[in-house]
Amino acid sequence: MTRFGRYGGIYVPETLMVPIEELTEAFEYFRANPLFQKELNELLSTYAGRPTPITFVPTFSDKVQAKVYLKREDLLHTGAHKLNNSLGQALLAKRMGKRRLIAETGAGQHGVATATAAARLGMECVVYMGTTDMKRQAHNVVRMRLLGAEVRPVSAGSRTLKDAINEALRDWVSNLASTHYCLGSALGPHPYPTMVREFQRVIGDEAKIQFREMTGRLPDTVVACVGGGSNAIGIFTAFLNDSVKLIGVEAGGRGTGRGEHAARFMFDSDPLNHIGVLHGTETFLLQDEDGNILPTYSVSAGLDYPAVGPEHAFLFETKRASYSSISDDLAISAFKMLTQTEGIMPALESSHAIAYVIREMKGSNEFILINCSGRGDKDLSIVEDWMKGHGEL
Amino acid sequence: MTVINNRGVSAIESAFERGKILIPYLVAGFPDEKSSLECMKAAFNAGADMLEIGVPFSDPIADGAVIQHAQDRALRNGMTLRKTLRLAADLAADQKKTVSKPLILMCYYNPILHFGIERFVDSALESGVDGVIVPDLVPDEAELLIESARKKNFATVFLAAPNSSEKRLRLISKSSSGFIYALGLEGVTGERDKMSDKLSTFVENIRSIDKSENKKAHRVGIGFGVSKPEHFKMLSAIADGVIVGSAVVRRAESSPQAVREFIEELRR
Ligand SMILES: Cc1ncc(COP(=O)(O)O)c(C=O)c1O
Repeated sequence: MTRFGRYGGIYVPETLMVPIEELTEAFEYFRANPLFQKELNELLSTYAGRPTPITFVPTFSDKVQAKVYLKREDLLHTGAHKLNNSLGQALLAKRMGKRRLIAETGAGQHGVATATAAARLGMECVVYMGTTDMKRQAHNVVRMRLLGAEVRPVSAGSRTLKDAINEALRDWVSNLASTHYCLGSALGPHPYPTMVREFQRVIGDEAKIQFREMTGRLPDTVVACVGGGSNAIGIFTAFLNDSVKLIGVEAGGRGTGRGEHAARFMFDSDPLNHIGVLHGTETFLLQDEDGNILPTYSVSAGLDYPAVGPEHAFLFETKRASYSSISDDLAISAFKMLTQTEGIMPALESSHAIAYVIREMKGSNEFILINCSGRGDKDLSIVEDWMKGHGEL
Repeated sequence: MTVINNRGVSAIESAFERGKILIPYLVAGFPDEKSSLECMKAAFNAGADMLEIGVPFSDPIADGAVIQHAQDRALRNGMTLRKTLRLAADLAADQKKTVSKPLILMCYYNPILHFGIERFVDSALESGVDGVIVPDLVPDEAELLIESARKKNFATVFLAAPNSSEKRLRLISKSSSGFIYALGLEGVTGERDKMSDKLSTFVENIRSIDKSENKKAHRVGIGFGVSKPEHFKMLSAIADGVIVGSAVVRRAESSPQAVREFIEELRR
């Protein structure tokens, strides 16, 4: 199965078809292989710090008049959920005899996670990053370089995540024998959306048990931010067959005009106009009348991408999950509020999910589980600039 | 719409009747709309047997630096799939005055999908375009395009890669019409100094698999990496046609004259 309903598929140059077949076979083999699972689980627990806890946030809960719990992926080694996937893929790549990992990165978290996995497993690592993102997430560029990765600046197109993926695909097709492309979100050609989900579903699998232990029940609603969709699908998967509302939050940026946001599910015309093919997969995306991909904008580099993972497209169509968007300003307010009320500084990506709860679920009195997908240290200079701009510093 | 007998697959097949053919690639709208049309005419005048017209796309993942730059510039000039079809119609009209040579589009999948697949095939044929190459569409995902194209005798040229398995080559052979496009390398477009010496085995392999799949064997064109007259000579000994992309596009940036001289040089 290469699709989720009509979404997904394998839209790639012919040269990638055999490598993709090999990757699919290797993934299918190792996901069922106890030795592989044991090695990965050991790395996740003794190296990466799993399980991550869930935390009840009492003051924040009082403010929004609901019972809010955070799944603390911000506490995972390297500071975001991305490492779950990078360790899984790196280990798989090693078993496949690859010595070189390449990755794209937006916020820099997936780049850092892949560079970390490569350092730990003794592999070479090259990370592609748009020059706009290198500036706004400069801290993570230094981290990747310290970890021994080569960071290659991408100055094509909008100089963000989309363009970094273009370059990574070009590298992969040119270096097939040595290289595994460690794609960082639940997108791209099959098997990536499934493989990334399987490596990230540990988030929801753990959270479901932890939530029951803490509250004796399941949450009413699970909320996660959606860039490509890996942290969201990671936490949603465990709850798909339960009567739990699932909400994905996209980047509303600074407006609803073209190029001002990255909200793929925010449209009012025929849905068919919003489906297309980018980076190997058929899904909802932002495009113009001629089928060219539109530029996007968000204060959060990790959400600043024009297409959404195909499984989210399917969950949207079947209405199993619903999707909303949050503006830059609300995300930054949520960042500050959680930091001040609870002493937890979330990534700007995760702040979108938190802001959704503040805006939409105030007074609901529901049990809410938010995926705190990463920590906010990488975003300090952005928040500082914003506060200066608003006379707060 | 009815099938136009002397266009589409038939036009491409008859171009191959002329012997080893040369297929330059140019990007519509690069360096600007008018000059790109002039470059295409110059290419034909200099002895090109068929032309591959690149439709600019925002995310050309199969292309190297030269063609990326050209597509980016073409997009800034406002070039689109629709306008490329109009440009092709102008070129085809101009061609009618002389000998009519086939035109194929090289277009990424999303613009075609967004335009509408059937509508694309019809509009392309009406504009004098005989077939299409979609660099990010493998036959496995191309059912709709193949079906719409077959009904109208419009060519779907699929790419065969040096690493394609026998099973994949069979699928490519079954799904292609007009010709099979053999990739000269594993990688993106762009001039290379040296072409692999394994290409002759690769093309022979395509031919033998193709023979067992089809009553009428396909012609094989080869492209990606071709940059100089020696390459053209070596590859036309192996394949039925040679596609030259970046090396031509680079010259289009200077002038139609430069395109003409280069193609004459290749042909010499
Ligand atoms: C902390 C954090 N959360 C979320 C995302 C968005 O990615 P995804 O939608 O794949 O979870 C990123 C991406 O960089 C991230 O760093």
